[in-house]
Amino acid sequence: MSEDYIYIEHCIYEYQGLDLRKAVIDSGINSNNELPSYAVAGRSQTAIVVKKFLRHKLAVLGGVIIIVLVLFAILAPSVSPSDPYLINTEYRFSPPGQNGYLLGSDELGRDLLSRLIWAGRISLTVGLITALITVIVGSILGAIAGYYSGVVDSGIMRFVDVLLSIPQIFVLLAVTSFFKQSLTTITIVIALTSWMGVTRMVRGQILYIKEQDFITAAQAIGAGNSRIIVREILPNALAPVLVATTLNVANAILAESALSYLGYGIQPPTASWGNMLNNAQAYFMYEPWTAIFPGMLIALTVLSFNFVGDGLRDALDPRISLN
Amino acid sequence: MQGVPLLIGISIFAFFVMHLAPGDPMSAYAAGGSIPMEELRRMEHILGLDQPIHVQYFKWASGMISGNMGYSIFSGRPVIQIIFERVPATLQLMGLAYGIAIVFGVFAGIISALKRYSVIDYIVTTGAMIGLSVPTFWFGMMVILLFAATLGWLPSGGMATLGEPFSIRDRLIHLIGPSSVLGLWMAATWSRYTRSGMLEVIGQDYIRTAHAKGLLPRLILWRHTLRNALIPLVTLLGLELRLVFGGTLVTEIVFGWPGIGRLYVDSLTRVDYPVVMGLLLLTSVVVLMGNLLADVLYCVVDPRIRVE
Repeated sequence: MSEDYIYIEHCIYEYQGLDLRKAVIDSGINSNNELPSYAVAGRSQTAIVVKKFLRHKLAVLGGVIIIVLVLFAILAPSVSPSDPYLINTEYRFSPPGQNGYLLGSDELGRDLLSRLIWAGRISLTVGLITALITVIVGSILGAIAGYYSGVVDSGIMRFVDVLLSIPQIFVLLAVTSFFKQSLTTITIVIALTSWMGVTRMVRGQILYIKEQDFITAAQAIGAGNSRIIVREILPNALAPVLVATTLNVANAILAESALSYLGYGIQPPTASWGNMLNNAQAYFMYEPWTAIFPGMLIALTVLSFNFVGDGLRDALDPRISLN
Repeated sequence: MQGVPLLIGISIFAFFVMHLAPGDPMSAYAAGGSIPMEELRRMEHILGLDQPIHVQYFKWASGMISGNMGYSIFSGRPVIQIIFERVPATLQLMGLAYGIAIVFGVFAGIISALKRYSVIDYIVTTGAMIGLSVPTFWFGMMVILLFAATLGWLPSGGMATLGEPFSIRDRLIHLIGPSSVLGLWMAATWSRYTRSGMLEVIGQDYIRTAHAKGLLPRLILWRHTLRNALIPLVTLLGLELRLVFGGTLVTEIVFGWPGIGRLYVDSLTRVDYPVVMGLLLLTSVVVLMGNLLADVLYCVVDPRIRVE
């Protein structure tokens, strides 16, 4: 009986981010200053999430790789060994490690490593901004659909159903084939074809959350609809949204690379990992390094974001305990 | 019946995506500058492109219902004929890929769930994650590099050896590369679904009861665990289709496989709107039907759903 009591206390204190040990001592239930084994002493919600995330080694590794890649992208002008556009016809297709090309050179004698570093800027920008847009658009539409229900809900969700029936790459190709393919148009188009998952998920969350008592309480004190959505509902749907955002970065990077590979994405001479592979298509059987490195970087980046997303999912899931 | 409004929605989307864009099909011809203006106008009139857009939509949509998908601007041939010439190639590729994905994915998923937290489980789950992260087209290029360019075991692309008469053996040799690439990529998803499905069933009371009754572990696995864990996987058959079409398109490009994915990309390059719209509609309808079929199939194989 008293153990149950401590456990409930523990939950309340954990929720408020307070120190359980102190609470237990204060309550005088446990005179030996010992905690029951299932209680986690003195950790706030954030600390628990961080601790759970750090336990997921591959997620941590993914996080580190992402940080390194982002740093390389930001510092591209100073870390890349040479100008990514510098043409040197004397050293065309130089193998890795020769003539001063660490990762070799392409058909115009441009330094592959420098191009890879600069291309990272493009791919990461597309990935991160796309994910940001999908989360904003997806959350807002999902929140509106879930909160208001009725005609608004079915209107939004049928539109989602339509978009979810058409294979993404088909739409991407169709739309990008009309426009001048720039970083901006590519990012927007990818974002506009990948927000539907977030919408479905947020709507599901909202349908659950809006039945909870604290929403009734907010309505009772006279809070308006938009206030309830923004202040009460969205913060409570944050965990899955965060996970979805991470995974969306990975998918957006894959989508951009596929588009660029097919020639409808980022246009040369600007390098992106995808269009470097498009370029390599004609030569890779004889000069394999032109294809190996860009693909490895795409895979590594996408894998890192996927692992971080997985780690976040476990860390934010309250059903998975720390022990 | 819910599918009908969805179908209308998809057709509207496919049509307007192609028509609201700047640069109509005529601009491709106009850009050449070699065709005189009045000739362009005449072509526009013959193709019906000078009519108001909603009139064009209704003409197109009513044609669709009767199986007339319009005529290619590029070759003048019926769109439906052009598309269905390419369907068998794609079906062979997707069919074999599905086979590979199901066999490998389900098997890996079962093993990894049974040996949870073991080295094998770790390899399978990490491998699946890698499979989902590696771009299909790059994986294809690496397969070509290793098995075609370096080892010479497989052809580097295409559907048949030039100048040789059709034989099943020749077709299969050409299919191995693209279908393995597509299939192994899909297998990643299948193994993840299988693993989580298995773990869920293993934790159920009736499995514990079976153990408590003293049933042979092998019997429990075959009669109780697998039967219940694999049932939900039928929905994946349909749910996955949208992604699989994307993967197929890219794989067809890498391996020069003359299926509908290549037709789609080629038609875009030729600004052949009717074919592009036809393919957009066709793939979406297949995805829609796949989802529907998966739901129906799920009810058929799982009596618990029927009762609800």
